[in-house]
Amino acid sequence: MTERLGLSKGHRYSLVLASVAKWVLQDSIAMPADKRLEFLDHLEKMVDGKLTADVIALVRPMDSSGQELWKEAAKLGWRGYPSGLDVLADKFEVFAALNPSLKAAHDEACRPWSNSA
Amino acid sequence: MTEIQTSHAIDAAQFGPAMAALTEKQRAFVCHYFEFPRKHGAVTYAAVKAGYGNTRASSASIGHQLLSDDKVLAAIAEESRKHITTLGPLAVRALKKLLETPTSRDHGRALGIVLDRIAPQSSTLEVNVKGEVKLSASEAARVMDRIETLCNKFGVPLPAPKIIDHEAAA
Repeated sequence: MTERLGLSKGHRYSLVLASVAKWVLQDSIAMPADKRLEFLDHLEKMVDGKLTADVIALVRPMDSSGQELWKEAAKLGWRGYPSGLDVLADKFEVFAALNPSLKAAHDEACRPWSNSA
Repeated sequence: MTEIQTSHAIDAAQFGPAMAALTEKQRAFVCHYFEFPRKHGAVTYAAVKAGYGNTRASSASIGHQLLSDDKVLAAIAEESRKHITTLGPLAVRALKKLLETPTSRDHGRALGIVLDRIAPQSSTLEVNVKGEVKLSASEAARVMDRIETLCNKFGVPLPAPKIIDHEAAA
């Protein structure tokens, strides 16, 4: 599946997490500035050779259907196996079907010439 | 030793919710823990009395394990509150005895304690608190700048500014 998708597991769940972070940032109008900055810092920490800032910028906030899936995945917790992160990575295609920007970001990250950005 | 020595009737109805949540042996442990007259050795005594362990060492070990159990700790706290309440009449009797003994060196203190409760002295205390709240404008500006930069970098829409009713029409 990894080969077919082209990105590592970590990159796949990072993209989904980016859509989660954007959903939270968009929905929480009353969020304090320091908390908002914390979420944005998380996005910045995701940046590496594959997931560039431009790739992450392509990701749109998670919609309500994706949020339902996210809440189910979160019930597994974030440690051990399988954890919520495994679900986000393994079901990346499902999240991408609900949020096509994930697929666009994925394809952009897989373009060989985009990695130098 | 294995028989649970409970002079306390294990009737869940007489206990509070925390005690009722324990097993019979755990309840016996908590009850005996309060019975021991000295400070040292209470854990082992209570564990032995409750029927835990085959040797004194194992009873002590199990007793200390029980004291790290949240449910047991909650039951001990619950029982402590009950025990303190029951000490009330004893304290009143001791105070009465002090009041009846003018030669006692604590007679005056006892008198003061009682008078304070019968006719408390009223006084007004004015407290002025002066404080200074330093708002660092430069720090706030730095955070807002960083938010804007990162929002632009990652395609996150900036939060819409709050609109105050009377300003909306302006």
